[in-house]
Amino acid sequence: MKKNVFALVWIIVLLVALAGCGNSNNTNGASPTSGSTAAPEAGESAAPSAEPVTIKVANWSPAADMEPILQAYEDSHPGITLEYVELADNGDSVAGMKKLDLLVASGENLDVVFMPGATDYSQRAGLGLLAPLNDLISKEGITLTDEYTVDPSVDGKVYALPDTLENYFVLLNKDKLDAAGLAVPTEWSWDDYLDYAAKLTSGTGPSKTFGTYFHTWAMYWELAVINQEKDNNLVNNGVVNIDSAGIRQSLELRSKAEASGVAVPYADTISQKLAYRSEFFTGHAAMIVTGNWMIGEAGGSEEFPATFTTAFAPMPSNSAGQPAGVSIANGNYVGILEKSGHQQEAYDFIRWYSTEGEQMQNVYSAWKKQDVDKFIAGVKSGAMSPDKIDEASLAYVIKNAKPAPLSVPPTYQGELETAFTKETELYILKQQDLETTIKKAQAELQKIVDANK
Amino acid sequence: MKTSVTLPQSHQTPTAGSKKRKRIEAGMGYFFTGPMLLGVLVFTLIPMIFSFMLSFTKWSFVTGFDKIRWSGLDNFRQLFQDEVFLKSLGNNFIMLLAVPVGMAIALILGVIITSHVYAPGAFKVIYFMPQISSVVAVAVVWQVLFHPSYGPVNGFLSAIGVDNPPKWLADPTYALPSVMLLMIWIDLGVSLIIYIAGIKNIPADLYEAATIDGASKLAQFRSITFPLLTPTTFFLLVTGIIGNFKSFALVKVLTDGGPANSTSVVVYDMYQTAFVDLQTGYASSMVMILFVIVLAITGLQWLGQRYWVNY
Repeated sequence: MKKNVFALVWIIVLLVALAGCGNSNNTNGASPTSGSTAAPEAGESAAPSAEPVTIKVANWSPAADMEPILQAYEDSHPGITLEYVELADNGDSVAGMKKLDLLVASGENLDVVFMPGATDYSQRAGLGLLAPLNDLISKEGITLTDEYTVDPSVDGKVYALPDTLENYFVLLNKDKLDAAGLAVPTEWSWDDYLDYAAKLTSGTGPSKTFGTYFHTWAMYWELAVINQEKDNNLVNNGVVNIDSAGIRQSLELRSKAEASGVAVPYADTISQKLAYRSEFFTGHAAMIVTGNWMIGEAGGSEEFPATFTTAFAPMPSNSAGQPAGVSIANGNYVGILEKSGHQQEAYDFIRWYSTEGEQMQNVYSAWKKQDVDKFIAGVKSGAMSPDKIDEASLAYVIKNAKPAPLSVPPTYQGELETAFTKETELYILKQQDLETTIKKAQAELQKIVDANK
Repeated sequence: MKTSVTLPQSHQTPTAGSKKRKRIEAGMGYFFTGPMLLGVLVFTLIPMIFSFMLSFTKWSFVTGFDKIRWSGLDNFRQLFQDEVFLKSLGNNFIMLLAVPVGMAIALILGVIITSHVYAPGAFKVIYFMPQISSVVAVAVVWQVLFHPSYGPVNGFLSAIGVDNPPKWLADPTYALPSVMLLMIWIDLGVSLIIYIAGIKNIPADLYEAATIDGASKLAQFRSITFPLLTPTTFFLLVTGIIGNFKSFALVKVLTDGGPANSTSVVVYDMYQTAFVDLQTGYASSMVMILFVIVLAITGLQWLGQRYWVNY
């Protein structure tokens, strides 16, 4: 009797639980469809009557940085209220993306979302989170390639507008350069880079200065590929690019630097989880290949005050005679969530933000009409120690940069990079030779490409 | 209570009153266990069932429920061709070695501390220290100790004449043993405390009798201490193996599964798949495999215990 009652209660509890699951499934399944059919109507009827519209904007930047810009937009666009959602409390974009995913998963009604880099962008576009913008763009009547240096199309569809522009160049410790009697390079190749690294290496033991430092990111295993105009990714148009001269040269470059002791040993890098900022700004490494988010930091930051002058050099070429300064263009992207009920208003905002809004923030943007001199002046005025930025070489690098048209990576770029770095790690740690590495990486990446067809 | 008096009667001819009382009593029971039951239901049981269902789907948790695609056994088929997963699973099994080794050390230390040292309390505290420190802090300290070029460990090794000391955490062959070493060191405190409690529970007259019979210390350990500690050993083995299978924090902060996946474990791979690659369905299927393995191992241990555990 007692057992029966207990069992009955359990069955009821389980049934309720299952019913609960089923219910939530149903409501959740139904709401997006009803939302997407109802929302555009609401948006269209709202626009003419100029009813107040609230747009939720999510970014990982601190609120203090974003709010003045949002305020400026609200002032010039009455009826629009922008609500800022801060995704990370320390400006960490990786943590910001995790928070964004959780917010979206929990049904938060965000409208505009920022993404740090093409990999994050294409991953979320591939998941169907972002609304295609092609109709809105053709309605406005612009050609994207005339407006922006970066083409954000994924399979012919545009899911986000380019926000900041990121290309790569070399930061040099000018004090050490002067001490070694070297000039700031303007045209150079990877061989010259190794040469510089050797000349900049000095000392022994824990206080040794290394010529260069390579971070753990996948881009540092494909340095002789990302400085190409074309076919500059691991997989281009579905063709795996590992078994190529470019990747071979990249890996040999790393191996030479490691063997001759001019680069921070890879074992130190991974076992101590070294960070490129501390390696460069503490003078532990004299040169790093990096991107233009570091321009402002060259003038010092709270954590790493500038103690020496930083000079800039273009991205090296693969062999003497080829032009230096070519680099893939990446950057932040700003898109609109598929579920957003205010597509038009959100689009107007991201168009404004990715052009004029950025000028206010003085970031290096993908907008073609940006004034470079004004940007440099802005960087210097905002820097903690402006005299530590070598202006002449910075101007040269920016004006002579040749951002290669970005082919947005496949939606599974993250998986490709993980698989690739796994093999290259074994190579640099002397567990396998170059040809084995190339062969295995080529096969593994091919497997990922096939699995995602 | 009064019910105990009326119960025999009501058993033969249930009256309306006693039935009602019974119902109230049962109701009260459910009322009091309700909150706990609800908690278990909402935070454990439903997620488990949900995760089980998800393991047969292709889904990313950032997309809505309407994007769930049923994929049958595809995930599992894919899992057994997934080199990273198989490597992680293999690493998990190698890592299991850390459990018996750690327990053996704890047992020996336990015997020594209870009877052969002054100030045993101080030793307990010393060995328990790593357990109460944050894993992150502990990992950072060991990172520096294991520094491949200037770390104290390699400094010592080269001082005594080892030419090419291993690169420890940065060496694909030594990374996993290094992690296991740390695991043993961190978990030593718990096993030690429990063993000491077990040793104190052994009646002293057994040892007295053995001493009178002229048994050596070793014989006493083999015939008294070890057999009487088998329930403790069994408990530590089961919880240790389950805990070992679920190890994540140490791997995450120490090596991130590297170099080249040599320290990746199933839970780490799952984290990477679910929260970095955003493949919730696929990650759920990994959890299911883990669940089945842990269940099987624990079941085997329960079955095997009657051959070696003395209660």
